[in-house]
Amino acid sequence: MTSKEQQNAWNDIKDSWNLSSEIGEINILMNNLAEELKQWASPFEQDGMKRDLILIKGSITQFEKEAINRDIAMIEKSINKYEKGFAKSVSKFIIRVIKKIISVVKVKKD
Amino acid sequence: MSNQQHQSFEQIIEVNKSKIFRICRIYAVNPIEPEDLFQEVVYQIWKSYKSFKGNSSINTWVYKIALNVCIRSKGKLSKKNYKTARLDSIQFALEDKPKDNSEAIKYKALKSCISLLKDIDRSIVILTLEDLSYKEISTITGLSENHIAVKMKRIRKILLDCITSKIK
Repeated sequence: MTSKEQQNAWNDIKDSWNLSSEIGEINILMNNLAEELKQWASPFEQDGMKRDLILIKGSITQFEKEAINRDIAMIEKSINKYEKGFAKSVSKFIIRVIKKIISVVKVKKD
Repeated sequence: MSNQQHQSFEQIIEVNKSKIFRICRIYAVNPIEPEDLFQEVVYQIWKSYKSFKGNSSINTWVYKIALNVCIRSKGKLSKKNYKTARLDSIQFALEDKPKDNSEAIKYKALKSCISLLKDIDRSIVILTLEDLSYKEISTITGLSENHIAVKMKRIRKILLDCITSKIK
């Protein structure tokens, strides 16, 4: 393409560009526009808020899960401790009882 | 917003509505329609007008907002079941079918080729087509005038080659 051809082609592009807004009319009712804008919720902002909410909800669920898991671990630890302690106490008690029975039997024999 | 700003805001929209629509039309990708972007741009201009300090001309300020809204629209709205409420105060009476078919073909080629450009190149070429000076484009894009001139030389060639191949 020669530079004149290029310039003509570019001018053609500019014409297409300028004509692109002439596909009809845009009528703006100025008396109501500002009032309407005050009450209008921008779809872009709504969409952004929705996505933020999904993100927050997702984060909260994860946070709750982690908190619950931590609580369960704590409870399990306590139960294990208690179980160990309980089992120890029970064994000690049984041993005491057996010892008592043996001593009673010994005395009776004597 | 005071009554004086009300008047100026209305004038801004009325004076700039065609250029805003041209930009919205080039960026609108189905299912988002140019009308959706247009009202979003109007909304953002209305929101920002109170804080506009006059550091740049109103012209460049409007272009900046329009481009930002359109560029952000690309991935912003979830396209599944997309619907948007229309403002009653903005009434579009657009032709369903183009009057001139050859013009429609040229525009379709232009839109398709511009969409292939990177965001920054797209902004630069749109602002050039809007007859802004490199100085004004520099204010909007943040690039130096020299950088814009270099880019524009390359973009022109790419665009011309692309459009020529599409039309032929």
